[in-house]
Amino acid sequence: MAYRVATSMKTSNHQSYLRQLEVKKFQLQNRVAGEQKNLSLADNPSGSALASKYRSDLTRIEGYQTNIDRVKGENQLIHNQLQELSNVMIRAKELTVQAAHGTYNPDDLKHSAKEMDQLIHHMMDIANMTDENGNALFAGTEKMNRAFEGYMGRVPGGKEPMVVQVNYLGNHLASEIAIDQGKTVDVERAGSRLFWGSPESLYSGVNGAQYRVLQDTSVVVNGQQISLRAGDNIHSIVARINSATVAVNAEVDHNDALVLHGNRSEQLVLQDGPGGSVLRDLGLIVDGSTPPYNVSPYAQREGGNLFNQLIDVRNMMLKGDTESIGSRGLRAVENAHGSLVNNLSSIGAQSARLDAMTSALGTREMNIAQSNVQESVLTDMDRTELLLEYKELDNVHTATLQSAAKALRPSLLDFLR
Amino acid sequence: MPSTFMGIEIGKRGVMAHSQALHTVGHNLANAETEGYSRQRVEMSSAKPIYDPALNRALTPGQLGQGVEVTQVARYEDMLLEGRIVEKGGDFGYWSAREKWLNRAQSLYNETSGDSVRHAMDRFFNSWNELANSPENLEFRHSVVSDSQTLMDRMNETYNMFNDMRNDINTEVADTVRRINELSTNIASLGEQIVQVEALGDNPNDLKDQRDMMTRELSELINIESEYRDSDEFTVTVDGKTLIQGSQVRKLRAIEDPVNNGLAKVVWDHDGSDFSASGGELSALIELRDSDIRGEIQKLDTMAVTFMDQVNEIHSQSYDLEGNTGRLFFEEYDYTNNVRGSFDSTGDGAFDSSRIFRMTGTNRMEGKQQLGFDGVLTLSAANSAGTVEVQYNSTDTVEQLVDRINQSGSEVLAGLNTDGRLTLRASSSAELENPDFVIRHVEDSGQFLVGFAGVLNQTGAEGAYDWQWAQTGGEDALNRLAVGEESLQVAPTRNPSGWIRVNEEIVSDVTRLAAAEGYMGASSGEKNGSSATAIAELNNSGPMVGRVKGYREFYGEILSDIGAKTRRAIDTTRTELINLDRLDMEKKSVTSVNMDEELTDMLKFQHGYSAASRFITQVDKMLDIIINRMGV
Repeated sequence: MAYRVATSMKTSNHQSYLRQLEVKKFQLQNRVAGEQKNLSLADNPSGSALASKYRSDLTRIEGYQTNIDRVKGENQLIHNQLQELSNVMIRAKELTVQAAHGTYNPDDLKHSAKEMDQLIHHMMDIANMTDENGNALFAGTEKMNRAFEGYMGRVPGGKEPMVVQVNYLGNHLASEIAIDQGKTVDVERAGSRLFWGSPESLYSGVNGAQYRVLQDTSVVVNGQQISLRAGDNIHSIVARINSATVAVNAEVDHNDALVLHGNRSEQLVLQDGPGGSVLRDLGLIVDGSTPPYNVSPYAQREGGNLFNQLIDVRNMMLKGDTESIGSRGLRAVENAHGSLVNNLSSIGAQSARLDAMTSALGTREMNIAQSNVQESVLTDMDRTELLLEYKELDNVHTATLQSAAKALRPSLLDFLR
Repeated sequence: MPSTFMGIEIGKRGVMAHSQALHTVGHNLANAETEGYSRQRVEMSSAKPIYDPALNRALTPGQLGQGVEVTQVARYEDMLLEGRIVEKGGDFGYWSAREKWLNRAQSLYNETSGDSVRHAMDRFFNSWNELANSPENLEFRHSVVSDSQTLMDRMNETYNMFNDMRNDINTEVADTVRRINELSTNIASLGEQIVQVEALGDNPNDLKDQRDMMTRELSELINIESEYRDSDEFTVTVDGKTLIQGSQVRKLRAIEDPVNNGLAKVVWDHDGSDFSASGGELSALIELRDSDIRGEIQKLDTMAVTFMDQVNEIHSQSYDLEGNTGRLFFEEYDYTNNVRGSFDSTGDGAFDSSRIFRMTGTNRMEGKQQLGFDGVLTLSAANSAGTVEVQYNSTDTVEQLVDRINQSGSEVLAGLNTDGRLTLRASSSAELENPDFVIRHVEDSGQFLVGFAGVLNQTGAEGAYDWQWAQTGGEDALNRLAVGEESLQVAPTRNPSGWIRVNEEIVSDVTRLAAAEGYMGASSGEKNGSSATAIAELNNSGPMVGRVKGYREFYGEILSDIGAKTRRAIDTTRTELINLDRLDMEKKSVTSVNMDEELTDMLKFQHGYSAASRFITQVDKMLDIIINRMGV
């Protein structure tokens, strides 16, 4: 290239190189000062976006971990309480077995009844445990001071007033807690399941042979809505309840009345769907009370919470009815203990699932961290690399300045006299 | 016969020519570092010799030289290179303006410093997650509210910064138009002076340098081409339209554009027609203002409006500690103030259009369900027809059709909500004249939107929903819908990201925050946090935010998009600068001053001057001999 070099070309060339160098040095300095590899998104657009996503993922995983830890902590507390309850139940079972032998005289039985009464009180204390804010632990998702309310009264054979009935005040609902993307667990705090001695059954007193559903409606059994069609008779209603996923079976008894049997130890909660009246018409529930206290006084209820079952056994002891203690009483106590053990194991199973989830999240965190090895290459500062790069630039800068000093100085002017 | 004093005359001419050349050397040296200066040279030629062929010529051998004379003072120039520099200037101006503003824009996301919208959003979802554990706990409720406020602050702040930037760019558009007019006027008036000087036979070198400089400056502002073909008329054109012709200038004018929030629109002053430039700083500024920065605001808005809609949808169906329901978590500031979204766009006192952001169908469906019938959907879009057609056939599943709608380029996006109902949401709109987040047209030739999803009442064009009531026979467009007001969300009238707020009722009393889901028309208990979990899970369930699934992905795309744009602007600016520098060097190589060269010239002319003086002395001596020493 035939090239003529103008004086200003030399300076502007040097200036432009120096400017570029200084910009680079300034950026490097900023990175070192800011402890970051990238100062702006433009330094590495996809890397920055990835880094942002990874950061979100990590925050999210931390959130899940916190949730799991909380649920596990709460489960541990509930587990301990139920374990304590189980110990009490074992003593109650011993008392019942001893009382059923028929070797105790009525006075001995009264002593046993007294101990049984103490055990019931102890169990109620456990069931009415509160958290640090004074809220009941076992009232489902209701915020209240006590989950169970005991009613005092006189019992044949007893001298002082005693607890004659215990009612559950909370609800049967559980709260959903997220433990992973799209995965939730129900945190079970409902006394209507944890403290229920046996499955419940409800027998209607109303003959439903002629009954027809008048319009499309629904019934709600243990929180699950079951749709009914206009024209359904009592048998189709039974079929619809039985084919639903709720753990309740329906049947029609010899009086053509509707009967519901729970499959597991929990309170039956019945309600008519919005605008409907099927369960009311069939004589299972009545208007005006909120579930589960809406059971029709003409319907017969079997099973219930373990307090009431132990109260029955205690009353038998007070009456000296060893025969009933040996049959009905012993079976009820056995059932109650069985369901308690069942609840304990399901809490244990949930804890095991949570443990597995913790380790899965831990692995995910590790994987993200490993992807972050790449990400950190993109975003985190490597001090050695930066400083070396800086030193290199510094050398180039010095060299450019030196060459500029040499190249720019001499001109013919220096040699003219 | 030459005159006795001819020698003196020749000497004088030599002295004068060389001294003029020396002065020019001085002028060059003095301007060695002047930007845009082209070195000048004195062109000398031998003076006209005697004698011409004529009867009165002397009978001597000829012709006799009469010394030197200066023919012109010319400047070194390379007009071809100058033209290429002017051509390239537009590209450089365009990219450097983009670099400057995009660099600022990307830093507004604060992503690398960790104090970003994304960070605040992570905190928001996490605090709902925490609340789900103990929904009755007031401290957790307070932290949800304060984290939500932080998120809103970040969004509002980011919106304000982008909006300020848009206004700043707008000011710069107006300034650039003013600068273009100023430069064009100056170039034209210089052209006039140049023609006048040239008419006298002189070379207006310095004036030409000035004109080149100004043309070059102008070239960075708009994409121009310069023409030197007619020496009397210097012409500058922009995309084939004349900007300057000789002393005539066509000016530009910035006027307020009602379609674009009163921001400046550039028009030709003489006929008011739209000015469109394909390069240069001005077009970069307009593009940044109306596309890039507006795009960033639209993305923020999309996020805000979807976010607000989804959180409010869950919150309004949930129950607070007092057992109340139906309260919105985010307040709808500046939304169409009318539950049916009816709007009076002409200001004549009668409603004439509907502004609906979301419509949710009445029927539940499964994603994997096959349709079992064919049809064509016609949805509003940003193309010349204003709509796009989406075909579906009987073997398609609902999910496939939803994906196809979202990929079709329509400005209506589809999705299934948590209940399994079809939701149609408006996206931001590409065209300035269409409002953002308004569903403009929904039509179905088959049964999908009609019987299946339960959005429209009737198939075909006669059952189509169109936001302009003129298209629906003058009646309220909502009459065409099968859904009631409760399944509609009206559209925002101002940028949601700038105005979204946490409901004051909740801020003043956190017990009003609804974390519990409903059960049989009542609260499921104060300790139920299922709705809080549902809100926290919005982060994961991958709702459609614009065309992207999930907030995490959407935000990631915002970042990589602006990052990549900025990167491209930085790189291209550097390349353009190198190109321009190279051309400039080539030009400088021809036109700029080299001091050594000038100094050698100085020596040369100095010697020439001395020699001419010496010659005069010699002639003087010769005359002295004749006059004083000849013994006549």
